[in-house]
Amino acid sequence: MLRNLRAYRNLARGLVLGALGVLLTASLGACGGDDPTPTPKPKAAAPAAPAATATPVPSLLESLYAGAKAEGEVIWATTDTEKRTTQMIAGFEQAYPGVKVKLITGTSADLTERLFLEAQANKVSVDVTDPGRDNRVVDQGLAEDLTDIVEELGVDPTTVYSDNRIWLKVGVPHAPICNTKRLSPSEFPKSYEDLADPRFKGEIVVENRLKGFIYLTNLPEYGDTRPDLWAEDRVVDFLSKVKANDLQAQKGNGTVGDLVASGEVSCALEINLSSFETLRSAGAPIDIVPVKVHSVEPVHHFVPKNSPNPNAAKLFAAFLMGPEGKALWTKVRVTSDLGLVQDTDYAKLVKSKGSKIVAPGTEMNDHFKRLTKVYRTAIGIPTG
Amino acid sequence: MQQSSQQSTLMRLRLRLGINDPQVLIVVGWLMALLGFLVVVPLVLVLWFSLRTVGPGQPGGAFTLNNYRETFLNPLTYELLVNTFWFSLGSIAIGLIIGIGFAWLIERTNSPLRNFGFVSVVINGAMPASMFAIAWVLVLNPRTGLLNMPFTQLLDWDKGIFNPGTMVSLIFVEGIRLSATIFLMVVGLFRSMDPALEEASSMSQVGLIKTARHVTLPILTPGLLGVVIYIATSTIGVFEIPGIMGMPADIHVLATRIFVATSQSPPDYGFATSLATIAGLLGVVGIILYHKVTKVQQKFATVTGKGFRPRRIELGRRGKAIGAGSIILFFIAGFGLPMAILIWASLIPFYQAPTPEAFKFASLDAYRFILIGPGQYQFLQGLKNSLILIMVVPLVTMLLSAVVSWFVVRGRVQGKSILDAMAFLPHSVPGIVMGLAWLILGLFVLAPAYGTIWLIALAHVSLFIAYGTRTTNGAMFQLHRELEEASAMSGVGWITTFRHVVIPLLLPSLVAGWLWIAIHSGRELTVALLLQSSDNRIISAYVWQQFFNGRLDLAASAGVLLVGIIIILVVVARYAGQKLVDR
Repeated sequence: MLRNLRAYRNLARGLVLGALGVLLTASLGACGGDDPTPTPKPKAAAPAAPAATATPVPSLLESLYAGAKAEGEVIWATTDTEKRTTQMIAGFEQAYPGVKVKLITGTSADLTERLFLEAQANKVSVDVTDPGRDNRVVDQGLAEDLTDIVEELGVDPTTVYSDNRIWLKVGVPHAPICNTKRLSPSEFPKSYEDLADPRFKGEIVVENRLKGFIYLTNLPEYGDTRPDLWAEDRVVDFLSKVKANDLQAQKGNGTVGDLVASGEVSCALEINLSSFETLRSAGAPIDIVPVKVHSVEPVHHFVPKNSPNPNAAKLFAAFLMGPEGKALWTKVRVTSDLGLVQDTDYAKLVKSKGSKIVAPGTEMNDHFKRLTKVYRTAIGIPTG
Repeated sequence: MQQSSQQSTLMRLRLRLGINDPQVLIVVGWLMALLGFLVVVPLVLVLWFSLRTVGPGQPGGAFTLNNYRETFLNPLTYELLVNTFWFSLGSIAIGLIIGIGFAWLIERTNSPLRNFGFVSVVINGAMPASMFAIAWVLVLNPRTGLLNMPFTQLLDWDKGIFNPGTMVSLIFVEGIRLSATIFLMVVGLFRSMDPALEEASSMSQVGLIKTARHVTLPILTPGLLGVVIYIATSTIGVFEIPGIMGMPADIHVLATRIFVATSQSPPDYGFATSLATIAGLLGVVGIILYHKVTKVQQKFATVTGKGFRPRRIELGRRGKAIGAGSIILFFIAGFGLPMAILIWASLIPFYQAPTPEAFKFASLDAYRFILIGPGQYQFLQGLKNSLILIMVVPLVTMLLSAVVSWFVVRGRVQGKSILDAMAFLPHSVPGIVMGLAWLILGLFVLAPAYGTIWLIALAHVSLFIAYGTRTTNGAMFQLHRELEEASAMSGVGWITTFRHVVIPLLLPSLVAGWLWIAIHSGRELTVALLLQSSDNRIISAYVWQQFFNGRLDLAASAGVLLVGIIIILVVVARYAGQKLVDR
């Protein structure tokens, strides 16, 4: 009997503890983490005062800054390197004290696919991010309209797309590179085609996303505007020839650059010149192959709808696409619009080799996924 | 009237489940609910998306079996299964030889350098798998690899004989990795083994090897089989080493193919989740085998109330030399060499073979950048979050595991095998798919936890509960019922018996399990990458991103610091654990 009593007392204790556990979990859920509901937008302006006492209407940036200060932070999701983001963040925080930039980095695919999930759950966690390599962000109505900023700042219309919802953050040229210690000047390749020569068997690495070749492709939609680019068939033919040289595919431009810089392989079929510059400025014995044309990888940004800090998001977007941001981009050795690509250090470096830089058109968004599959298949990388 | 009706319902439930003690009923109920949430819900999500025409986050869609049709009709699937089989078999064989050999050497013999051996094995596990793989690539690279340098520098060959991009290299490196896990899983068994039979064998003038073969191994067989099944299922989902060493050479296993399918844009969730379901089914086969082993558990109980402190086997001079030599060799291959190459990589701005010429580039710039420079915020944020995981995840997981194991091994409740299966299943699903399931859970069910370190902690508990329960199951097999029965006979309730009898006896295994989970949670990558936000990034994710951003120096320096922290943790835990066990 006593045992039963004790057992049922323990049962009651267990039930009470369990209930307390549920309550605790619920209260933690209510208190911890982010608020699942979208952050409320700044309150609407109070009804207009009589004309005699009206104060001047603040400019767009001023009102965004006031809202951003109340929000306190902006969350930036980017594919950029820490070297560049650190300087951009410092520049923004100096220009707009009281608004802190929090950073998430990842690949374009990681950032975009996560955003789709977050949008579906109405739990968007980033303020400014990368839209990926296709038009799904715009097609699904996830991008905020930035027309007011574009008009206020007078942003070059050739660098904003999709009704002012996406803007070009940076254009990064790509090129083949080789190790100058492993190859004497006479052995150094002079063209893409040289890299298909059997003497480079086992000596070439390529970044497995092949973006340099995707942007090197001349699309039918371009018409006669980019005659230096390669037709799709030519790219496939070239990649198939290079594959016969036991092409090694690696993830990440940095990894690819390191393999060439260390002398593990002689050449990289293409890497972005930002990674090239990082290595060369550190003393790596590498140089660009003087090919006739260098493609440019455009990196876009947008502000997602229902972002957690809507004012700070637009303010940061304005900073990145405005004159201050452009000046900083140039300082960190990239450029903020494709037109300027021709006047950057990259451009000078490439021109000194007698080459051209050719930027892609936005039409590429409709072909990126397909070309990725075609080109990866050509060098034997499994695709979906 | 209502109260008596409730009581009779409770009684009926107790009778149906075969539970006499109401305390047990409560615990079983809570356990089922908790495991159901931590384990079953994510797995159901994986299964759900394998049967849908669209992936998570995409509107619309319908049910389909097409994903499976395409997967089974694709010859690549069979190639992946064959590769995964050889990769698993080879690495398990190497891992078992090293892991069991070391557990025996360290726990059952008087070999010199035993403590150093323990630390060597455990710190091998302390190195994040991605860092270990990167280090071995740098060691095995045909031209600049450390092991190939004698050929390229002294013999002036163009390339050396080793290459990281071969199946043999993958198996070797994964085998070394697995040995730490196997060691930690079996060391508790060796520590708490009844020595009477071994001593009898020794008294009969039977040699060491014969005793090990005919006495030690058969005694440990049930526990070891559990470990082998666990490890076999874990290798199905291993990603980092095949991903970093195998993928560039076009060697794919199930996990790397799932990675390719989920990391492309847009991802092929149908293919990824159907492959993951196949991996899960292989895990189910493992569970069935496991239960066949546990059916004979009582025959193998080796820890009773008496004689529970085994004596060490005395090694001769030659045995001592072989023991010490093996420990040193393992330290070099499992930790010294990869760590040395990582330290070297952290000192130079771009990777070069460690030649005198390259030393002129060496500096501490990378450490300055992450400790006091512009990279400080991100590094310290990652460190803080990693430490939270290291503290919270193993504690929760091992406590939960101990209770689950008691019901699975000891309990007379119906459906206990379901509990065990639930705890084991997530282990067989590749981490990348579990990470995706937890991402969806975080977004749609646990919204307040989304973007916080607590969501990663929950996901880690669900990932590591399989390891926790295998460790505690193995130890529980060896505890004879008589101790608990004595406690029950004295009228003590289940919770008190569990707290004061079972837990103290399980302590060696609980400490070993705690350590393993702390290390693995601190270094886990795939789930942390999928669930990361601006606030919950952990060190391993920081290392990964620096590596793929082309900053091997920053990745290596952060990795070196992470390994240093985990080593301190291991030493402290080893010391504290020993104190606890001795007490």
